[in-house]
Amino acid sequence: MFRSFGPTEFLLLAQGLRWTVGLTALAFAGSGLLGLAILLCRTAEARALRWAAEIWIQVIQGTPLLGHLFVVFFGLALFGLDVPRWLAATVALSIYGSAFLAEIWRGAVQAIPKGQREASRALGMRSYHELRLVILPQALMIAIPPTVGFLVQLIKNTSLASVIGLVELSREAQLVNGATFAPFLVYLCTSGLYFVLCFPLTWLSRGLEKRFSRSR
Amino acid sequence: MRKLIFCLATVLLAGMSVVPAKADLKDIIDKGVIRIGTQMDNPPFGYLDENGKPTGFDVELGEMIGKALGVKVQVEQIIGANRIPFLLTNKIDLVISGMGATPERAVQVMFTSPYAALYLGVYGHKARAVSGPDQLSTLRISATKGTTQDLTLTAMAPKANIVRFEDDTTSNTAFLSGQVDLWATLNTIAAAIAKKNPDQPIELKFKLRDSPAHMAMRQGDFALLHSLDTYIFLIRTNGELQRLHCKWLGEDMGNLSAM
Repeated sequence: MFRSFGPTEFLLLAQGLRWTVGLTALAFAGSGLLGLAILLCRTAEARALRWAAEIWIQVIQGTPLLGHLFVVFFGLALFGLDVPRWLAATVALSIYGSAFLAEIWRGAVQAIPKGQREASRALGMRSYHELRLVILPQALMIAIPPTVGFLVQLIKNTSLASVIGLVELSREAQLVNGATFAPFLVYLCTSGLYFVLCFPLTWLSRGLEKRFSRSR
Repeated sequence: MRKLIFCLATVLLAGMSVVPAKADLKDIIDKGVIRIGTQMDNPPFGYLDENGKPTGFDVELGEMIGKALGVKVQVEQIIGANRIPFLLTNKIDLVISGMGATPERAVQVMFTSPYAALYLGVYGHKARAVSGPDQLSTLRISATKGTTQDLTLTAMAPKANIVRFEDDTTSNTAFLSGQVDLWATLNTIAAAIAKKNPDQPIELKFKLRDSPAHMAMRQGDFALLHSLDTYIFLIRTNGELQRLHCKWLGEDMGNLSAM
């Protein structure tokens, strides 16, 4: 019944990477779009929008991702909505990510000196053009390193999707461990695979940060 | 903020009172598919083989049931802690996952007659002289948190030094690595691990209780319950269930009581 941990088992484990990478990509795209919308609300003139964005950020940052996953996967099912695992995980991670990205990007937008805004106003720009032509291009440079840093967090957080049974890397590790009973080897390899994914990104983030601080 | 929390709570409560969609026998036959939830980290009941395909006692039993009902089987991988939520939110029709019955669980789901004879026991090395719960004194015993073995042992020996772990694998590892002296677990797990570790002379010290495995379904799916009970009766009498016991558990079916 029990097998030993060999190359076949390592390949099984590596297959779990497909969903870890896929889910990260989907969730990053979702977080980005939703986060941008929230950023726009957060920095909008209308008070109601600013408030709505603030509440969203506070509620999401103040509740665990595990809770979001359960609400989307099991909660919606109570209303008769059968959400597939991958979609539930994508939605939950996007909701979670949007709150963090919106805050990271708000910091970047607000780091642009006030004079830039005043100058664009003086040139007669509307707020849309001001944002698109003056603020965002500069804010982007500031935002890239922490955004890549957040991506690393997102990769590791996809492991939580294992609680709704999505077979990504962590869940695959539990399954392989169940069949081989070699926890030390299995989790060592799993951590190694996560490292292989995350390290290049961390390194990239560092590099970008350095380059940015030099250009300043 | 308070208003928002109130709104959220109302929505959630409203959601909970929605009656879960039923999937009784007729719906399953009409659809031609039965969705069976099985754990894949629970050998020999459910695990993945070398090709990553589901296999085990529960998986084979599920296939037999599909054949008997004349429907296709869709195996859904579930997790021990989420077995009941998966059922109640209509993500699956039936749990076959080595599940033991408890009064609390029976309030939420309906159980069939047991299909596998299992028992819980306290295991230890041959050299360790223990034969009952009154001889535990200060020995450290590993158990998986919140499981029936944990609850039973706590009730039997309230003063025992129980070290509780999050999952079976960790609890097993604690015993094998000598971090604890004794080990409260299921007989099939102990047998499998004893086989895998021939250098460790593991033996049963005393039995905690019988803990047969049942299938579970949503409350109210009586037609499904009755047809499965009939099926269990049939495979008990025609020797098929005995064959499953010998093949996967390496033991006789023994004295399996009916409900």
